[in-house]
Amino acid sequence: MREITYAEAIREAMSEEMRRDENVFLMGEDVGLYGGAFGVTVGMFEEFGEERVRDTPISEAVIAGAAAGAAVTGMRPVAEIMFMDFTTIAMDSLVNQAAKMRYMFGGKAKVPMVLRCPAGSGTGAAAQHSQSLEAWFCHVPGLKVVAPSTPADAKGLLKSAIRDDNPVIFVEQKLLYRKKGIVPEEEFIIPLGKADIKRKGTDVTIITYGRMAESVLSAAADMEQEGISIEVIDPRTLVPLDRETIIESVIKTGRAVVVHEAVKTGGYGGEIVSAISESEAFDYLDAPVLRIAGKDVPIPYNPELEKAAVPSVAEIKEAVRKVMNR
Amino acid sequence: MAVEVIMPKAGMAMEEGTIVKWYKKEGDQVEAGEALLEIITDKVNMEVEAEVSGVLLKIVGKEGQVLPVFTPIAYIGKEGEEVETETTGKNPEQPEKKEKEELKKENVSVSEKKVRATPAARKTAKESDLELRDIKGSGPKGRIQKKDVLSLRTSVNKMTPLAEKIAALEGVDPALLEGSGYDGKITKEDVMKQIGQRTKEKGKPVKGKIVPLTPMRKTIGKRMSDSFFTAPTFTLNIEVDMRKTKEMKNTLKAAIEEETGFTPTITDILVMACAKNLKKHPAVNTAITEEGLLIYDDVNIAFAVGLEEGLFVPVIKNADKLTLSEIVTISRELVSKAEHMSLRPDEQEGSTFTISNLGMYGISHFNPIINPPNSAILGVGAITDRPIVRKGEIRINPMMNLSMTIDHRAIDGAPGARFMQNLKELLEDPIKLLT
Repeated sequence: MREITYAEAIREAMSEEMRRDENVFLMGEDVGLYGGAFGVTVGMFEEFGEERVRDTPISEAVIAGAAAGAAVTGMRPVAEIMFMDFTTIAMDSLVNQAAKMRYMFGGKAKVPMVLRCPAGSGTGAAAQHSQSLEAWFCHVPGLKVVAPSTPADAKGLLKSAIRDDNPVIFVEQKLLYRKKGIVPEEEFIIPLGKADIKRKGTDVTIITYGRMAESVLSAAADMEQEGISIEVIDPRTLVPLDRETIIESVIKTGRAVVVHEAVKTGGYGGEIVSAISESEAFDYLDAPVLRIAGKDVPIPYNPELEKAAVPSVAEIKEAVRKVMNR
Repeated sequence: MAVEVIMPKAGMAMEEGTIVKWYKKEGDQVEAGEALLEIITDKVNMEVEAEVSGVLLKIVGKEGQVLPVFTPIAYIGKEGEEVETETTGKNPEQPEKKEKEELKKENVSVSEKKVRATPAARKTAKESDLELRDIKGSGPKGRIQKKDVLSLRTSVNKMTPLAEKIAALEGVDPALLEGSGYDGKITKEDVMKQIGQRTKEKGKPVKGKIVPLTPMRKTIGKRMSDSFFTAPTFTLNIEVDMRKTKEMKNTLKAAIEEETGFTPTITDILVMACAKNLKKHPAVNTAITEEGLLIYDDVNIAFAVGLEEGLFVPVIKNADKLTLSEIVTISRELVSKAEHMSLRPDEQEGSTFTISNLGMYGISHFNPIINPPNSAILGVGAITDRPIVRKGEIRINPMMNLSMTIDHRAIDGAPGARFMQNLKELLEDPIKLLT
């Protein structure tokens, strides 16, 4: 099996879908000739031309508004917001237009758009270029939110997102772009709303997504030595959330920890914890459900502080020991 | 205001008593200290005396009724006084019920004190019918975890593999079974009992008459079951040459008879020998308690007295400090009290070791059941002349078998065996009793 990077996997997904469906096109700041700020669209301008790989002005409001408009008139735009931080400028089009149209037109309008959002910290880009704002979108009915952690998941899920008739916010953590992973060469798709069990275990369930999955898996491998068996569940899609897989696992283990990079307060971890405690799994809980998340601060510019602002492997291990009463 | 007469609590373990006979009837004048009625507890028959003088206004406890301790059974007051009780004009059973209800309420208020337990622990406890407040939590701040409940539950519902297999084959629900094995383990016998019951329910009843169990019978049954099904036991047997002990008994007979008026018996000498030997082997003079192994300072020897009415086990306190004459006197007094059903509860409590002698029935040896909370019981067999080999010659000597049943939780084989070995030495050379 071949290994490719997360960025290459995303490029493959977009290229395959563009070859398959002429209505699919790309738009964003510098996605064309330059190949994207993170090199994700390199070579696509050459293959598909400026009509289908479109550079936009530096206006997130335009990108989101044009994408929503194109989608509702029958195109399948894949738009990129270079830094997720600036989706704030695109919010009206996303929240009040894209998310609402299908409902307000009684299902007659479809909004098959994907908004790709490079996100997260770790690049030394400071407070305005390092945020993980997925929870904002999870709060808006009508939007789907996807946050893959591996190249294969990214490819399979992006293809599903492009084919979906609803607006999909596709969160790509910048630090993942260079991570390599096995991705099948033959065509495959991964349905939205289906969690993946990244590691089987019996003592503690850790629910995580995006780049934290790697830290969690590394903590899980370490803790196996301590005799603690951790099950790692990556929901992959935050909305719709695969509650069943999570609940089933927590019923099995009786202990749960949720890990994400986004700040803790108002973070999506709270939603996952609530889903657990509202469910049948409540009766099986044998410890409080813990959240390990980003500190409630803007991401600092200082590289050491930047690292300290997001969950570390050590913090994850400590949480596991806590729920195990160790 | 009329004064209540209550079912007394005559001993720590007494929970209920049966009214045997009223000596007085309603309207009778009674004096303080005068016997009003006879009750029977699980251990003894006793009289209940009036605490005040007056007229026995009302009797609410009927003869034959079994009532919890502290239940009012009668009222004494002034002539013509109305008895202002909850029971006036009501069924005498009601105060009992009411009391129970109040007791329940109290329990509820205790349980309402918040217990720290995880949802999983709560669910597991509920499924297993266990009370959370009975469970010790191992989590932070004493929080009860699921494993705390499980460890308790498994001790309730453990099954031997054989029992499990039979239960599965016969379709017996293990939840219906009460485990009689060690630590409540369900054994093959428990399953077979359940199957037997099922067949019994199906088949024709076998004819016979049912004799209600007396409180004493019930108590013996309960104590013996508790002992037998809780303690993992083993029995050590040893043969003792009783020639010299018998000689000693005959030598001392006249002197002791003169001093006490009673003839000394082999049991008396055994009490003395055991008491002395227990001092030397404190590991045998023990009890398993919740806190740990209790090693007694005192040596209190109980001896079984079997009568028509049932089994009594009076206790000779501090037997290690008594002379043979004293042992003879005390034991005869206790036996006589047992025969007259007048043993006090405290005369049957506090034993640290028990001797059961069935030699007079010609029993050669037997496995006695431990008298809880003791850790060991000595079973004494008959003394019979038997050929034995001494220095290459066959002799005929009076031989006796001793069998000691031991609770293996408290005592291991070797210490038990050393106790028996030394006991044999004492009895085969009883001059050593003087050391």
